[in-house]
Amino acid sequence: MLSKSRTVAFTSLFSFSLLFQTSCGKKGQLEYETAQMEISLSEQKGVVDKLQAESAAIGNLGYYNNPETQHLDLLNQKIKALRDEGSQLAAEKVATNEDLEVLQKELSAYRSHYVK
Amino acid sequence: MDGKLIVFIISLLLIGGAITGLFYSMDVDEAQKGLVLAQQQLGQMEAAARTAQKSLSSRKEALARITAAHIIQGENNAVKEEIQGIKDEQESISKAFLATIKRVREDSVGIIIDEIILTTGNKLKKARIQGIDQNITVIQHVEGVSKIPTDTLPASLLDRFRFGYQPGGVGSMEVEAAQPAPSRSEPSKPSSSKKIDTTASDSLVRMGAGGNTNAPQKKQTTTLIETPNVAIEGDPSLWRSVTRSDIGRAHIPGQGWLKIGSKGPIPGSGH
Repeated sequence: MLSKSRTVAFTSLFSFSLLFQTSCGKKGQLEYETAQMEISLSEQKGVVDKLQAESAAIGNLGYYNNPETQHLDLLNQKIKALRDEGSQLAAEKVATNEDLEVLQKELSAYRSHYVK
Repeated sequence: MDGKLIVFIISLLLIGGAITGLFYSMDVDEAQKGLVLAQQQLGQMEAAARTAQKSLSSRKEALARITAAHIIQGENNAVKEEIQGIKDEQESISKAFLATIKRVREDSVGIIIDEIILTTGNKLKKARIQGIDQNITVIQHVEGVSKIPTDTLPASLLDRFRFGYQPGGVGSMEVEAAQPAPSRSEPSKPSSSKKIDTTASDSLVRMGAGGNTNAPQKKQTTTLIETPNVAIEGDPSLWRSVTRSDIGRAHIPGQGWLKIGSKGPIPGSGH
């Protein structure tokens, strides 16, 4: 049997060692998490660089270089106006072609009637 | 003695442990700060990535729409050019039409038609067309020579001569429009008309456009206030109003055919 003093001493040493083990784990965990964060940070930086390079590859879009919603709406309106103009031009082309055919037929008829 | 030694050792251990714990907790705090800093940086970087992603997406969309607008604009321009080409062709055909009409009119002078029934009901037998213009047609027939308003000709002849007709609505009916404009000081005669003298009979014909080619001339009530020179030599400023011209006369809307003096059309000379 151990004496009472020795029992107290061993118990104290055991408690200290347990306390130190727990504290050592805390610091290591924090360092590990920090390292993971830095890895993620590095990855995110790579993503941002890639996006910026892709954006730079598009070039300068002038008035629409930093497009907001209203800019995109403006472009949509412009496209719509151009499409409408295209429809009108197509109709005008058809009508002009018809006029031309009518005129050609009329000239042919006139010539066949009166030109010998 | 053993007890004191043990207490001493334990006290040393406690002091050492406390000091070690103090430094160790400081390290843990540092690590904690480093972690927080890394978290903040990661958050900022993620926000930057999201912003860049959104900006890139918007720019791509804007680029796509700009490209689409350019393509549609190009297509529209191509269609416009096609339409212009068609219109050019239409204009050339119109000019050819006018030239054909002019030739037909020229060829019609001298042809003999067995019978012409005017819209007034008059019949001209063995009619030979001597001259044509928009207002007057001179026809020789078995009973003599008549100057009749052109618009009283039968529909078949009006269709042949096509006065006032504008093919395709392009340009003027005047055949001369396809040719260089004659000098104002030297009026040229209309190519489709042979010499039609400017006589009182012209006025008779025009004023009798109601159909009676032998209608008496109406008395003129227009009072002319002209200087002697203008009445003799003509008014050069009237050249601007001349729409048609012939040898010795010029047509001004509202005044009819006027005689041409040395300087210009003589106002009131048409009556």
